[in-house]
Amino acid sequence: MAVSNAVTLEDKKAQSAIAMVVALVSWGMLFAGLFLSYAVYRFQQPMWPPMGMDTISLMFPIMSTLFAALSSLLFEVSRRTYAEKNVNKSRNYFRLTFLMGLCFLVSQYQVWNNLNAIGVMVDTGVYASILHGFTWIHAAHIVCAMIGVFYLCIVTKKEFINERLITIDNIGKFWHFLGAIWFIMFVILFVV
Amino acid sequence: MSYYHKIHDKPTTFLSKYVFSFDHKVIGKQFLWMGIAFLGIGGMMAMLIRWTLAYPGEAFPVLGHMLFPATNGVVPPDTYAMLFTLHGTIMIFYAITPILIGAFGNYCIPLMIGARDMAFPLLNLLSFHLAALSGLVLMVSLFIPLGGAAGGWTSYPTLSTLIGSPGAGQTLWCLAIFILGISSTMGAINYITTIILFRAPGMGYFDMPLTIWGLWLTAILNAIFIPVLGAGVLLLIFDRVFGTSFFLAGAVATSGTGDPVLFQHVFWIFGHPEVYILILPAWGIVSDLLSFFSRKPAFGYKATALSMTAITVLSTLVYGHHMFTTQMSPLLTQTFMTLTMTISIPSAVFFANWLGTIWKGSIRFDTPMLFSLGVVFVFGLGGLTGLYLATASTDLYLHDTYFVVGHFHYTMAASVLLGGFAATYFWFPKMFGRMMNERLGKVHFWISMAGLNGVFMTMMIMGYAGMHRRLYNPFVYEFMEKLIPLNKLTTVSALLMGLGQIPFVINFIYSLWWGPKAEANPWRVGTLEWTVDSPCPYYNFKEIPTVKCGPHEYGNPKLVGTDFQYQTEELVEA
Repeated sequence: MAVSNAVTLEDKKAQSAIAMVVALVSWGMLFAGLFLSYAVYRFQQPMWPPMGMDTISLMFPIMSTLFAALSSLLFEVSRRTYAEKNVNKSRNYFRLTFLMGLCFLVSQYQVWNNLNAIGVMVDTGVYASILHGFTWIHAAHIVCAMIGVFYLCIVTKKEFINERLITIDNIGKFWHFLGAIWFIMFVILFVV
Repeated sequence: MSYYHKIHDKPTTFLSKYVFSFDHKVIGKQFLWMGIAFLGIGGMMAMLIRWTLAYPGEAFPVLGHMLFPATNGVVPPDTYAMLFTLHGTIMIFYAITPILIGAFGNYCIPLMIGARDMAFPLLNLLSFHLAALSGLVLMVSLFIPLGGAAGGWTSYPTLSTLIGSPGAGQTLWCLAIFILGISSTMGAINYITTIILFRAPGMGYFDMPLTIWGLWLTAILNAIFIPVLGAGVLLLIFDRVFGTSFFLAGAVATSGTGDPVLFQHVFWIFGHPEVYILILPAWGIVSDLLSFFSRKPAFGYKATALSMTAITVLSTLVYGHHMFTTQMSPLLTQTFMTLTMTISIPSAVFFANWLGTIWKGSIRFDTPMLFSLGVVFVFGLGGLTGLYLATASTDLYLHDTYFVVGHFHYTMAASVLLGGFAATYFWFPKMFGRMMNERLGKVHFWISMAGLNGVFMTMMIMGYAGMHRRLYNPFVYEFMEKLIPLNKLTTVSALLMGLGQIPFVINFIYSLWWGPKAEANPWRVGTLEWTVDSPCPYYNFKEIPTVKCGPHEYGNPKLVGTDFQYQTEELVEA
């Protein structure tokens, strides 16, 4: 059987870059659907939060935002460190990224606890539905992305592999994307 | 620059060859089996619906007593709602989508662009297995207490909330659609990447067969709009499982009401592009087949490709015409009406191009061509009747009547199914290495055409006369009693259409094993898939081909001994 020329790393990079852009557009549309819903609810209500609903302290949402920003920064550092073939150092940064992801989830858990404590429970109207529902969906995505980062923590135990950069790039894009989505959520759900 | 896979190892075990195959051709066939199976289930449900409308209160023949013993064989009202819900869901998401997009998308894209496989074979494998899992979840919902979903294929709240559908069936419906959405998005990522990067050297975008254009545009719409439906059904699941109130309004929402109409917006933002998601592959296939069997270049190839692109763009801007009756502001109504009407322009362009392609062609009336001509007829009819629904003033009268049902069956069911059959007859030799029987194919075509026109034309007449859709027994209203004979005609036509599929099933199964062996290029066509053996070897192309001309090079008077050129041949100047 004749065997064709090997596929180069550059080929694979272009291939995964296009696929990742399409995937992020798809994810973007999922969250765009949610934000559209938010806009409709928000503009239909005479006041926001609706009467009888309280707002929660901004402490944990702000902490979540800081963890998200820090984790993105750490991921970027680990990506660059890996590209410089410093595998051990990059693995440590990936671990820190994972830890920041975990901290983000813990602060989210506190957000949900705080909401419940002030009576904004999931079944108490559309305001509560939005705060709980949207953050659940985002947190579920964070869990998926953390599985990706955990995978990187494991595979970067071995020697440097050029092709691994593609996986790191893709997980990184997803991680940063979720950070950006969180920032939008933070502003529209908790600040304005 | 062109991209290609190394030739991968030949699968040897049963599991790696037929169940967990990475080969796009096997995955395409898996989608085909799944689609045909669901087509049968959805068709059977249609027969139950039609029987109930033609003979209300009478037992369904043969199977009735077995299926509905508690009502002496009569379809009960709650089951009727379940049937029309799942008929729509199955036909759209589990029959047409797997056949047109899953089967022919997977099978044709790499072969027609000169690639060895999809860009991401593993993603492709997962895409099929998720689709199968989704189908399983949907079917399981039929066998749980209170049965399957019954809120219509659109699942509008409040019908689809716990108030309208208290059982778990609706929740499983939402879950099934969400899983299928993930599967379709995976497929879309694969199709888009493959077409952008894996085209053979020399194949520009305007050298691609129109089938590939249709599938590519479909994949783009899929990637963008299926997640919007995903967001909607996710929130609906939350409403049903966790007690949120996204789509609950009034007294049922305890504090700060949600908005049931919002689901309609979200649904149709996806739903209108979905119409084109389903039909674009059929348009592409038919555009190619008309040229192949007329032995003429596709008339206005670039205009056809660009018209399909324009329709793809416009399809994203018109969803509001599904919601004219939801107290939309007149400004929005007029805007959506105008935008919808605008779609007629590119549609007319490529429809005229179809006619231009067959005009004075040396037409060969083989079965794939008959089905393609059938698409031209039924799509023309479906498209024209769409104008009345795009116009707000007529839509207010026709909304939710059988006119709508007839219209969308002409466009989405008849056009797409006939296109699917055309594709099946055309690529069967390449897929299975054998020819289907032409005589049986033609019998299948004529009975199907007679049947489907009998069904969908009378539906439109009944709708115009005021018969509403989704009523269990419309004849409790005196003014509708006169429509019973027409309903009987529709049901008899539906039965004819159903029986018309028997020759297809016999032909398909018989030809799989005993059909005459197909040569590499039985239709004398120049696109890349016909340059390799039938059935296609597992590696597709030993050497990646180089494309030197377009896909529709026919009837060149300078050609000697043949009337077509392969895409791999230097173009003979006319």
